[in-house]
Amino acid sequence: MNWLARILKSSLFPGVLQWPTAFVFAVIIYQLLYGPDSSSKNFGTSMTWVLWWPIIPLIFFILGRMWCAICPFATLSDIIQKFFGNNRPVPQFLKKYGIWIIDALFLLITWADHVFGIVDSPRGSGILLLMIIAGVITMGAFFERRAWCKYLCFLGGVAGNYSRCGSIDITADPKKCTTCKVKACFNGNEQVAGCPMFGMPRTIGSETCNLCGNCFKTCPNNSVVAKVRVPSSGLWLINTPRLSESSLAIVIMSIVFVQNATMLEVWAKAQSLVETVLGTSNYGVIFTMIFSVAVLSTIGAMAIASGISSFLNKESLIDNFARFGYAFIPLDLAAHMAHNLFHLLAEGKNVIYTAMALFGINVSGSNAILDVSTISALQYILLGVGTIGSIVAALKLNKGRPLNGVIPILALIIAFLLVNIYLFLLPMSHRV
Amino acid sequence: MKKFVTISLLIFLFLISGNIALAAENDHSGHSGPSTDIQSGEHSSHDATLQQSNDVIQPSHSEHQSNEPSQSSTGHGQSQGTSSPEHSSHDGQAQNQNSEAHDGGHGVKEVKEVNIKPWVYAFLAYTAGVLLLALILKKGRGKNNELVS
Repeated sequence: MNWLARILKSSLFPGVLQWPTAFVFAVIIYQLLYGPDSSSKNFGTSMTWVLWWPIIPLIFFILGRMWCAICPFATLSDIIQKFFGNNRPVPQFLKKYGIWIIDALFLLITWADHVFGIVDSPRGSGILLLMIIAGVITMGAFFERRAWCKYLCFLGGVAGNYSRCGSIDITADPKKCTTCKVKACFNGNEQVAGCPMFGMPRTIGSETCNLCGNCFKTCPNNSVVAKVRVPSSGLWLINTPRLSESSLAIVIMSIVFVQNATMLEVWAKAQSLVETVLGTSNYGVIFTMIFSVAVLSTIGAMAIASGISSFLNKESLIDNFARFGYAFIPLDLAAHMAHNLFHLLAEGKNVIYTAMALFGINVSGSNAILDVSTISALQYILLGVGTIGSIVAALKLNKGRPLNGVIPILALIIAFLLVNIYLFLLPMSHRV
Repeated sequence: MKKFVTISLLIFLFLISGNIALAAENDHSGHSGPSTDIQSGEHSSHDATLQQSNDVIQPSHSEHQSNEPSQSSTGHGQSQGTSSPEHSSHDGQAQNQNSEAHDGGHGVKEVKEVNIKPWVYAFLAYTAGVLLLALILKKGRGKNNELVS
């Protein structure tokens, strides 16, 4: 991994990627707020929901949280901190409950997307970004390092989960680190700041490390190394499973179900049923009810599987939920990528058309990059690979315990796979 | 005490900026700046506007029924095998409308015109307030972050 270490050590990294990204982001924000009303003609919508959102899980899978190193929100946080930062310690409640807040935010944003319209509406997307920027500025102005990224960013939470499947691992030589007195990786030096994610390379996991390269630049002992690892192996070695992170994995699965289900005929029937039961035609109320049921039933299914596991392996339901919840991350990642692969490959050219329209060049034509049957095949391949990853992760997480305890979890993985296959068999609508 | 004051000021700023957005939104009739229709759970009755909007049209129940066959005929359904991958961007838009029809057929997602200006003003007001507060608090601290007496 010398080439990667060289990149991370370079003084040009991550700035060489950070600033162009920030520039493109500024154009996106402007377009979302003041560009064309139509999502199919808006460069901001295309870049955000047709290119960036579908590609981001793939980046997490290949490079871990490297996106977080060049993320424009993080760049903004650094700038705010430089000129206005109070650098206060992060409040304890954020350290303790930050991931739960992320779980809630992720659900809230998905709900708001359906009720108020975020993906469909450039202005809706613009308002969401303004709200996030307000949060980033607040955290950057008062708290040390990248407190927003570590404790509140909903994408960071998802990134943390997905990056456990990532193929790059940053670690350090324990012999050199135990004798080190300066801890420059954490504290920084005169030229380079300490770890923005509140970690040290010896102990930081791929779920937190954003590969910013600061520790490579500051370590006086050349202790930090970058390694390539088997994808998903980050899930196998979890020593202290956290219920909050496992819950996020299950919540993501439920969100993929909801995103797909809203495009089916059964969705209209479900709405009609709820409308009759509740006696209201308010879409917000109806969607909230169905969304709650969908999320709770997915979590409930996991709770039942964990309960059966606990009966079989004599460990508590919570312990089983927390440990085996991580096993669903590869399938989450695959389902997320499969869902968005359709948008990327069936609508991808729209990014080029809208980008050219910025320069007054109007080009129209098919948005599709690949035909639908090829995209379908790729989706099923992804789901298959994700399922294998989840099954392997479940077995590895069960290591040293009776095999029967993992059987309900394996059954649930297969059940989730079947639901996903069913949903992907049905027509999917476009974003732009 | 300082923490209490900071948190109170932040909440105050948040409420004030939210208030700016709401007040401007309520005052807004026949906007002049860029705006769009976004979905809202509230029930309104500007059907004529809905018919003209080309972005996130929320059709009535009857539109929903009439649009459904056209969704399969435009051919984006992956399972039917009748779809043409070489659809035009116009098709994509039609599909988008169909998907909205799909979503909004029963619960009737209504649309509400949103003027972006108040949101931007509220954002700027909040941001300016936060940064000013941060700067004041920073001035009250020394170089090493200790309180200046």
